[in-house]
Amino acid sequence: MTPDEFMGQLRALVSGNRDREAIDLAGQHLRPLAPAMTPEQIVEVGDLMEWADMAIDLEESALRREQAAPDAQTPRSA
Amino acid sequence: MLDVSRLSQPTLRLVQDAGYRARLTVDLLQLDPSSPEATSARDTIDAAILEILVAAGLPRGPINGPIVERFGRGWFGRKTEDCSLLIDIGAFDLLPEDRRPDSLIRTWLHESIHARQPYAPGFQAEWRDARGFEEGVAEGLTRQIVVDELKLRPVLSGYHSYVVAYQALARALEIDVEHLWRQFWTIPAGGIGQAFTVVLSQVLTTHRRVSLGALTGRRASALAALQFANRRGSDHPDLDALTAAWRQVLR
Repeated sequence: MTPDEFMGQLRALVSGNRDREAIDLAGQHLRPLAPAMTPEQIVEVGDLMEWADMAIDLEESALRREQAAPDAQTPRSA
Repeated sequence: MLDVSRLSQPTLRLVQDAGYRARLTVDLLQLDPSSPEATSARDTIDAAILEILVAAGLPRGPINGPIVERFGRGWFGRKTEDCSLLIDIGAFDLLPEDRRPDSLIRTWLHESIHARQPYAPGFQAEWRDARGFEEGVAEGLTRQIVVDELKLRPVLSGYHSYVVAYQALARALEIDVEHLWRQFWTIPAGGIGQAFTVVLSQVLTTHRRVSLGALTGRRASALAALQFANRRGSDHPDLDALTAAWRQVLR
């Protein structure tokens, strides 16, 4: 994979809200490709990964809230 | 506006002495984060960031941290939902050695601007659709301080399209973009989109312009939602075209 192909795939995954796939792709290719990338591309990957990780955090905290809500409303058994 | 000459001696040294900046960066990036040298480097840099932000009139709010570690997720820095300020020292290894110190300061300052207040209620929605509202303000102010006033040379990132969107709006309004960023900075991260037309009206009033009518406000809000949308993050913006679009909406 070339740096440009990597960047294209990463941008598409993040803008398509496929955040876990984006993290996996970066985990697999960023370090090996970094010597061939421009500093600006490396920093852009950083921005994209920041967004992806925040989106994952938000999804997980929404899930936690959802799971906590029914528990709070469940009547105690007699 | 930041008066660099009034900064304390330790902060001035960090800003003006590239060799010292490089040495602290090496201590932070290459040593065990819990070592005395790395801890001292972290505290020195954070104290300088805090002082610079206060001097610029943009103080940081309460945070957990800064937590400086090797997170290995690809990002350089983050402010999390619980207001932890995270710096990933491992990510900076990927940059050329001579670009690391200034890029570290840039990231630290950018994340500290996000940390001006706890996130706004409902920030999740803005983050999912139009994070450019916040990133454009944080990066615009960061560049103003780090590049224009401190004269550092960090690697600049892909938030460029959002910075230019604010510059275009300021040009259309014939006001200083820094004034615009500072007005939006008063809104907590994640709340700028919702407050956009209110702040814009305040800016117009401050500059003795006609306030936004309801229709113009709705049109401005719609154009902003497009320009600050997530999908615009990697765009190569045309300042003149964006300015013309704002002029059309605001006339």
